[in-house]
Amino acid sequence: MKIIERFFKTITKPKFVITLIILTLIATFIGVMVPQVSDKSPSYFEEWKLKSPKTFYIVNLLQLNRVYTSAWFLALVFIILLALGYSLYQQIKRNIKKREFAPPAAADWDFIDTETVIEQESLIRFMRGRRYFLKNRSDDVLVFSKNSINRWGGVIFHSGLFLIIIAALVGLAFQKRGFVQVMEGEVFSGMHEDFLVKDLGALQQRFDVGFKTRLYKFNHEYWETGQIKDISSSVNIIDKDVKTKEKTINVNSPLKYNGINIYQSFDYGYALTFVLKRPDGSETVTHFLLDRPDRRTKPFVGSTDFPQTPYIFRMKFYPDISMNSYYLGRPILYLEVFTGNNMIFKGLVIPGDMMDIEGNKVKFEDVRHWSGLIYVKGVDMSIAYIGFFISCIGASIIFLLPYKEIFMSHKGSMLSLYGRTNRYKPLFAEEMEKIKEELSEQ
Amino acid sequence: MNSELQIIFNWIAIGFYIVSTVFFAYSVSFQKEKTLKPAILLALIGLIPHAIAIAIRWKITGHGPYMAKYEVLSSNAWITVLLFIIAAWRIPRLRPAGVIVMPLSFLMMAFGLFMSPEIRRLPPSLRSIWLIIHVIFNKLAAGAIIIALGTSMLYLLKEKRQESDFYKKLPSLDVLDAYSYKFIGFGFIFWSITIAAGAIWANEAWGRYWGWDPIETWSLITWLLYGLYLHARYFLKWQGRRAAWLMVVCFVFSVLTIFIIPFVVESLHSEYFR
Repeated sequence: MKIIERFFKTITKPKFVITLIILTLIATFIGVMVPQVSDKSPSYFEEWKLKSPKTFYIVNLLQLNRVYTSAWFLALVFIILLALGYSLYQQIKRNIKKREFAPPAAADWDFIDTETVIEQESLIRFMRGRRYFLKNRSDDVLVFSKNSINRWGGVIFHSGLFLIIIAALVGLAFQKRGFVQVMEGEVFSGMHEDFLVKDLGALQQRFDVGFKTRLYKFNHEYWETGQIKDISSSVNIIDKDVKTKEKTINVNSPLKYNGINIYQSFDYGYALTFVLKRPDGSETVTHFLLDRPDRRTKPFVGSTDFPQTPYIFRMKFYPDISMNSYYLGRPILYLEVFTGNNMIFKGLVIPGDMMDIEGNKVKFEDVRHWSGLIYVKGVDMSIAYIGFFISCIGASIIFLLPYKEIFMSHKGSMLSLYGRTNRYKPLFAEEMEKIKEELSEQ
Repeated sequence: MNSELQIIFNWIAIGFYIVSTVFFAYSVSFQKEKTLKPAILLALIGLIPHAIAIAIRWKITGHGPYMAKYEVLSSNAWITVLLFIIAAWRIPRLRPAGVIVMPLSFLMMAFGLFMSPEIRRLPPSLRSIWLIIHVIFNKLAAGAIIIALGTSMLYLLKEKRQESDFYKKLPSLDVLDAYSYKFIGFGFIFWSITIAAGAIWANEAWGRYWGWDPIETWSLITWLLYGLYLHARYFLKWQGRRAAWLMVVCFVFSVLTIFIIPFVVESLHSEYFR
């Protein structure tokens, strides 16, 4: 029991708290300096591993390439959570406990001669004018205070942080998130295996959405500058073979269905469909999903294997022959086909064209939009929202409303004053001087 | 025509700010208190053409000043000058901090004008009420931090030249230090609200309130640094020179986060600063 108590006392010591902040700073700094698994493709790390195996080994061993899900970072966050929790407990206990009235030492008082006797009631009125409220009153001492709520500022601020960290940990453990590319007219099964990218919480095994989604139409609009104005996906939800009405998913306006939110991703483009017919009559159909380029004068590009063949397709696709549009007009594709390093075909093709590649008939079948959709079965984020809200309120109370306390005692025309505050002491000292000046002029 | 007009108004504002800076520099260098008032007045007059330039731009683009370097830097400079004038009006002794605040403001504007005055349209992800809150508080945070830098620099200057008559007229070292603390307190609150609003907005747009995007992470680093500053003051009783230098470090990180990182890394946030 004593060990636990000692542990909690240690982690809430000011120097330890500052060390925790510094460690968090270092961890986040590593997170932005070292390439992270969540940001780069697996091939990037394969390449790194080949180029400098020793560095990669150390980075991988210390989990520096996945900082925010690493065991040491989670341990750090957990210690911060414990420190915050215990510190909150201590602060609340201290604040609830009725404070004993502790007058200052005689040597700390300042004296002014007001020349006339100021009644206690006049002093109270004077201080009320300065928004100080009478906190304690005895025969000869008046105690005024301002911004008494300040002592709760720390509790409120740290409670907010505590809730945010709880929400983050709950999210890390239970969240289900998946990304999928769906072509117009196609159906996403909603099955775990069919997600292109999955991001599951530590305590989650699968993410089955529980319904199918058919992309009915993808819309994209642009400003005259070529920047995206709007993107949206019109979808049908197919739940146990019951087709629901058509719904539209916009950026900032997800579709909510059965506890799943579907967000519109910024990833979209054109899907080029090819059919390869072999001399023996067998067919392979494949779709190449090309990403939208950042300028409309640039082509949609892609370089990828044609499944079940030795061919690599390198594509430069323009939705319109004007080469200055994102919209599908008269599309044109510059295609190069390789086997290993040998180019076996190159040329311009349009949908419907048939090519002869090493005796195989390859048809550029059609062009459709594809849209990136993000499925999230999130944990309720209200806890985090409340945390954000109250931590901002708490920070405002701490720094905008410093606690001030003024003691006044008078004997005849001699008025003794003493003031204390918890922040901005030199500014408070100036305020005290003004109060003294005004009182001596009364 | 309107586009040219806003550039002209911007340059008029920059002109006023430059002259204001000269007055502040003259006042601080030659210890002439009399030139502080005209310096403030010039800064105040400069705010008018600056506001007109922002309003014209707003009308042309159809959105607030938060897209592209030009708009971001110009509106940040406007908020900074406005905050500084309010602070200088409420606390006249802080006026010499203009020697730091004004050049930073007109340099931000001029930099924006040289970099990208062309119009950028609003992408769909930026059409959210949370963007307004996010941006307003980020600009307020930038303003408060620049003023805190001003008071911290004045502290360091005064500490070196305590014997000079002019510096004797400045607030005492303790008071300058307390003002730095206070403005960093403001900056910390505004930065917290910026992060919170951004997180809520991210959750609405992408279904997660924190994605460790480079700018998000740098923003957290800056927030932690300010948290470190505030804890060091409160618990370790850091003040004076040490606190002033820590403030300078915090400022460097703020500049990195707001202005440098969006340039050098690909991020969801880069769009606003292209």
